[in-house]
Amino acid sequence: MFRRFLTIFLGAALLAAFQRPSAAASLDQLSKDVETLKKENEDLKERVKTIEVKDEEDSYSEKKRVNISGYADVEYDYSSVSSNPDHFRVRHLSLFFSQDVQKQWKLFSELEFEDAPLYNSTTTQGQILLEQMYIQYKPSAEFEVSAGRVLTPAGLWLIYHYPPYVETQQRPLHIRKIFPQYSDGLEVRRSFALGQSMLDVQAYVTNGTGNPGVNDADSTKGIGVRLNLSADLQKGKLEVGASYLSPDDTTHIYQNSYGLHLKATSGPLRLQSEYAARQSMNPNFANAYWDTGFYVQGAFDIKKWTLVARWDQYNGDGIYNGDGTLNLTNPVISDHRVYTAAVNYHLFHNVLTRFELHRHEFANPSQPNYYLGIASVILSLGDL
Amino acid sequence: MTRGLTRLLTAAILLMAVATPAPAGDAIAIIVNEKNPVSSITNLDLRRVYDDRMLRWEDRIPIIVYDLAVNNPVRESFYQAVFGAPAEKMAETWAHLKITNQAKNPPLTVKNEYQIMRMVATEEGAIGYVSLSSAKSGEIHGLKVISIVQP
Repeated sequence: MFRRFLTIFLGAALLAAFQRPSAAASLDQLSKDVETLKKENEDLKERVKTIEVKDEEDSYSEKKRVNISGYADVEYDYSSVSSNPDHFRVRHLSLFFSQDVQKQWKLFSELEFEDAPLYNSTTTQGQILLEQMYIQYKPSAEFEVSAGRVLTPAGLWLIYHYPPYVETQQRPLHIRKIFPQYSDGLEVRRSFALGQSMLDVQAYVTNGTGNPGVNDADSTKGIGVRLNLSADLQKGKLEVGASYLSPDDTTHIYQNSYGLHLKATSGPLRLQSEYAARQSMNPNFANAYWDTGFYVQGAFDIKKWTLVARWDQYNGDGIYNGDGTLNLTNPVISDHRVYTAAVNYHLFHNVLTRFELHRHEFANPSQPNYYLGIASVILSLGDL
Repeated sequence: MTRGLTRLLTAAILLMAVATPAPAGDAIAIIVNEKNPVSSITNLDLRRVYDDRMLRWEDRIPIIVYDLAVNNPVRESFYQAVFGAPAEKMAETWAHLKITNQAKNPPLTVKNEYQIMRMVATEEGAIGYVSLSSAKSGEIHGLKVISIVQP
């Protein structure tokens, strides 16, 4: 009995003796592993901190930097009119420069080169245009004041007209005719929350049509306003609005421009329509006229494709009699209609190809109807 | 000892989780500053916030909107879930608003989820979105989740 007990005791003692160094080794190894992990953890924390500091430095330098972006587009235009031969067109190179000079102050400008400008002693082609240049004070998201040259706040296409983001190269007929492309002056925007909707009011005072800068020869100024109400729509939004501008130009032809617009977006479908009218007259009603424009456009996105159809009309036929009434006996000679079909394909988020076909029809029999096809490639530059 | 090791490993994994983009398909957490009295947000209001149509919280504090870089998979999931549109499309919309002087409250784009969480934790009116796993990491304090969007 004693021998058996002794054997068990010795066996246990030997087992313990052999096991002890092994457990100690495991413990050492574990401690080493923990140390390694601690170090790795510290390194990771350090790395995150470094990235964080670098990111902050980057954002700070980005804020200080002048942001340059822009777009470029090149076209091939085909026309069924022999007087307008097919041609390549270096359409635009536009550069935007912007900087937040202070927290609430910003400078924005757009320099546009259209149709590869060339000015020398023998040739004048294309144009170089300062399309926008304003200094903006924006104390809050709801309120801002811009002084300088702004896109005339009227309708939709006149504002949202940049080739990378519109559906066709050719704009609707009345755009830039009834309201001017840009306005030199002072613009104030105030936005109001109306329940679940948002009302934007843009009011501005401007030199007037065709009178930029120091060429403004009269003391009266045009006054304009644009209202835009945006509301929820199933899977999208609805925007409706109205615009008005009363410019006074140097020839004392008083023009009042009016506009209505609507845009509905629901999932992949977009519907956009505008109506605009201009009453242009002088005290004797000589050369006075009334012109109107209307278009309706539908667009549908299918993955990288956008299909577009548009019906567009411009009437410039409302001639006034000497007593201020409209002369309805004159034949309608300047009605112009355009039927458009277009396909956009987004190769990448900043590369777009587009093909559009326009059928131009005229009420004036001496003006032949024709087809215009435009194939284009459009690139967005930088971080727009 | 084992508990310490586990804690250490967890911390390391969480740290890596917030420093790298979460895989697409992960649920998305809508986060605001913990001082913001808002406790939830509907998808419709979320759309308004990211679509320039809701500029202030109910208590009139201005909303500061944060967004991820356009190529971030979490951003893609967010815009697909909330707008039913690709992130690129929304980026185009914002680009057009900005260059035409029509943007009221454009989102501020930051490089990663960690930065969004840091900015939201420091600015009272801020809102952002990150993957749920990043939001739950607990790495950044001062945040609260007000909605979870399923991609």
